Amino acid sequence: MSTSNSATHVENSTVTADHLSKWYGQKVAVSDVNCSFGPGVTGLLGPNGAGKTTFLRLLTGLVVPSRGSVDVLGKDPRRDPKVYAKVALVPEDESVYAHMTAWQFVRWSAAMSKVDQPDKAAAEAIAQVDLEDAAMRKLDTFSKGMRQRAKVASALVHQPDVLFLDEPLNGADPLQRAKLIALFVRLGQEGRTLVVSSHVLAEVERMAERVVAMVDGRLAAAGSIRSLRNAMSDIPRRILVEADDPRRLDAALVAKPWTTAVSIDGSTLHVDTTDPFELGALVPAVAQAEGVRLIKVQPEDESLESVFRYLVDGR
Amino acid sequence: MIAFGLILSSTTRRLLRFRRLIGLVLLTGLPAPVLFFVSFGAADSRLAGLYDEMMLTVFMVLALPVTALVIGSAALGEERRLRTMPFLVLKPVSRWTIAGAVTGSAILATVVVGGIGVAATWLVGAILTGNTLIGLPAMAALAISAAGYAAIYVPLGLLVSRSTLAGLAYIFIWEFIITSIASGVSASSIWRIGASAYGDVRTLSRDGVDILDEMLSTVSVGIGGASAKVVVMLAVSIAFTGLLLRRKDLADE
Repeated sequence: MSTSNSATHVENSTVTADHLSKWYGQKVAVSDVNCSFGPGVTGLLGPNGAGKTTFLRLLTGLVVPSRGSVDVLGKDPRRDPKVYAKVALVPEDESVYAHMTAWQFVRWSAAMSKVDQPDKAAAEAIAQVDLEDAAMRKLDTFSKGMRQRAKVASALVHQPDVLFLDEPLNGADPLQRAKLIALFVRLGQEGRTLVVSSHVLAEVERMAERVVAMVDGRLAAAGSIRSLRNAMSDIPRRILVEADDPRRLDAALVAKPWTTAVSIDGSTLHVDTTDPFELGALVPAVAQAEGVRLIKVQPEDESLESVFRYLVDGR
Repeated sequence: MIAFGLILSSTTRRLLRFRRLIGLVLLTGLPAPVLFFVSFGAADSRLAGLYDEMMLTVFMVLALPVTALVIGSAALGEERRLRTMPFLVLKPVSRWTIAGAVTGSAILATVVVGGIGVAATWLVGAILTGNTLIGLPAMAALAISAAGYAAIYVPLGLLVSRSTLAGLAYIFIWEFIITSIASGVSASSIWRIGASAYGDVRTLSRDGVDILDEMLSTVSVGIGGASAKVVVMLAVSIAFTGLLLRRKDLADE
């Protein structure tokens, strides 16, 4: 994992941040971020407060850089709003136009984006996010997940080449989550540039080939998911396993090559490992083979913040 | 032009949401019941004067500035506060088209709300005086004042997070105090601009003329001059708001 020029920049880039910084008074929200994005899905990872939302706002021209510049499809969106005909943002905030129905909202976006057949485009976009049944309902009656889908439809209605999505899966139920992920993957495969921010690594892993990670407003890491995994694998990690027969599971796990240490605390095992991904996949199989019933398997230090701190500071 | 219409209709609907509409109509309609009650026992010759007094003081000086402030500062300020700004500005539409359409919405919404209040008072005035045209000056003054206030309050809503407070400070400090003391700047006072249009549309009652003279001070009566001033104010305001949309952060930290 690195933040070298080759990792932070891509060939055929459609979006470039050039030494981008944003500060509010004394608080630095984004600090000297230098990277680019190209066709396909890129995950923008980072813990809460890492500066992802501000970074996306900078890229879309919603806020003005304190230093540095942004290039989207060869233009600065701040100076040339025509670029928004090919760009869209799904903001993180729950807010929508409460006085509109979902249909009116998406159709309004289509017409504002100068789509040739706004009615047809709106119907297609609404169908893409499975909101046909609720299309004529006012947006203020929608759940959080439905609002997110309405915003996604509104962003897709003009078929943008570049799509920024800020925590787009927030509030979505598991089924909708899977459908949205499949939709984003398909859009990426069509050659569109998608930058999807999330603080949930597993979600990003399912849709993105490449990740850009931020911590404390800085670019912490960039590259493929595999390189991020490898970088994380070098760091001993601790997994919590709860089972009905922990001693039996302990004996089976301690023999595995990824396990560095195991301690028992009542019905709970604390397993130190160099590869939490492999271990996470292995535990259920081992438990099944040993006839042990698993109650819980979860990382004890899985927060992205701790992962990225390892990556950035080695601590 | 399509984008202008879309923004105009959408923003006007948002500004006229039911609860706000009811509250502001009660405020702009306030002169109607007041006129009705003060007319009891008044001589017939005083009724037209009472009507002018209600419109020039209660409506023009109190109800209209506050209504225009609530609506104007919400036109862009609410987009920012409710975090819906991306849906408006991340579109392939010129910043000045957005500024013009949003300002137009503020004017339209203020005229609708104020118009309901004026119509109510017009009805009472017409019944009392028998003059069915008595409400025309207030309608003209409303249209001109609404445009003038929108020119101030729309950019203020984008510029300042507590724009309602800032707008109230503007009304009391600039409109009431400074323009009353400094005759050199009194021509820029929006309620005086509105009042100067009011005095030009209909021959006023003697009481109305006295009140108007006191209000206008050195500002001369004339709907043409009032309209010209407001057109200039709107042009400057739209240019400034468009510039703010290009240069200012459109999302809070």
